[in-house]
Amino acid sequence: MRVFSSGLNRTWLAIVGLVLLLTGALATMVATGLLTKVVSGSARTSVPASGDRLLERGATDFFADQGVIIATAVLGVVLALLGLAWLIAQVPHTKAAATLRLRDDASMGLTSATSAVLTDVVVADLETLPGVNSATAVLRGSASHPQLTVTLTASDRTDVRSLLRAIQTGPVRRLARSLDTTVEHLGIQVDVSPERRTSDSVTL
Amino acid sequence: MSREDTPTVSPVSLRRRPSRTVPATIAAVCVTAVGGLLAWAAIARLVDSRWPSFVGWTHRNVGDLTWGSAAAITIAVVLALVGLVLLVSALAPGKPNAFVIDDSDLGSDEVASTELIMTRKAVAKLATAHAHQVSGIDSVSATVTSRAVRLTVSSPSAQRDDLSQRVTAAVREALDAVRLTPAPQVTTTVRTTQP
Repeated sequence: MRVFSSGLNRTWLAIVGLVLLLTGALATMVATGLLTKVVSGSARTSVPASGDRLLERGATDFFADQGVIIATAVLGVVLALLGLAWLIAQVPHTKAAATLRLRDDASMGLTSATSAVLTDVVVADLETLPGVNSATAVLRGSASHPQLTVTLTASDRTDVRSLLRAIQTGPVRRLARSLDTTVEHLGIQVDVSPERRTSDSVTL
Repeated sequence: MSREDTPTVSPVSLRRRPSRTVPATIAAVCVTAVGGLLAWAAIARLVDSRWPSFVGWTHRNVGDLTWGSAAAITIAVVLALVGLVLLVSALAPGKPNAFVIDDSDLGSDEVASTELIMTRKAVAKLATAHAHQVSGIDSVSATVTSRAVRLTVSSPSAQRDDLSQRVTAAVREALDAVRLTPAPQVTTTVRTTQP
């Protein structure tokens, strides 16, 4: 029911992973002396030898430059903001519709309804169906293009297909008629819970 | 009744693959920490005209290492391995969380498109419930993958093959009635318990 930032995660994991992998692989080749065997000519002289320090004295001078310090500060702020935005994106969200505006003649006034009111009615309607133990719903899109997502927990003895048919001909049809439009997309996630059983004993 | 005609949005898919929240959260915390430390160090250098103490510590303990030292090689290899793990976690598709329910005969005039799914957990519970209805079963456990349902039942009965067939048939009938796509393959293993 909730939306996770799957695409964003995969993209950034691939970028960060690739950067780390290439950096690590290059550093390993330098450290083991493999890179000097691979490259040739003038490039070979720029490859650090195994006895060289990771940060040569030139690096200290490089980072003493005012422009480099400012660039480092900007890079740090950008990285921190990107990381923070990525972290915030991990919080799942429902993407529920805002207030639905149902407009009559403007001179006669405007009618609006929050999506929560409509989904509460749909859930109450769903929970009256036989075999439904509990249900939740999210309404997305707009009044003219509503998209309904339903998660319902059905009893394990329920005829699932009959229940799905009853949902479409009952609560979903009533929602569509109340909005005076067709439901653009209906998503139903079926979960199952055990039938409430009662136990008793019989002596023959 | 007329209404605002807002552009349509793409529907949220219920059937999804793992969202990689754990590696993404760890990587995001690391990126934020590295960015924060870089910004802090550079801004402190600009304001106080000297680097914070942790920069000096890093320079002494990492910068002074030689390329050929064991520590430098270890750092490089660990960096490459972490990168490889992140890359694999990004590219590996992962198992979908649910089966699609065939909706070919469940259309309605009031609905333009549908996505009906049953979670793998729900399929396991449904299979377990229907296996339990077979006579002679003590306990049932089910493992559901994206293409198969594997049941393990315990029974005092010595008729393992017969029981296995009856359980498989009962569960297959129940799942066929839902019309999951792709239809999972059902297999049953019977363990005999002491009566």
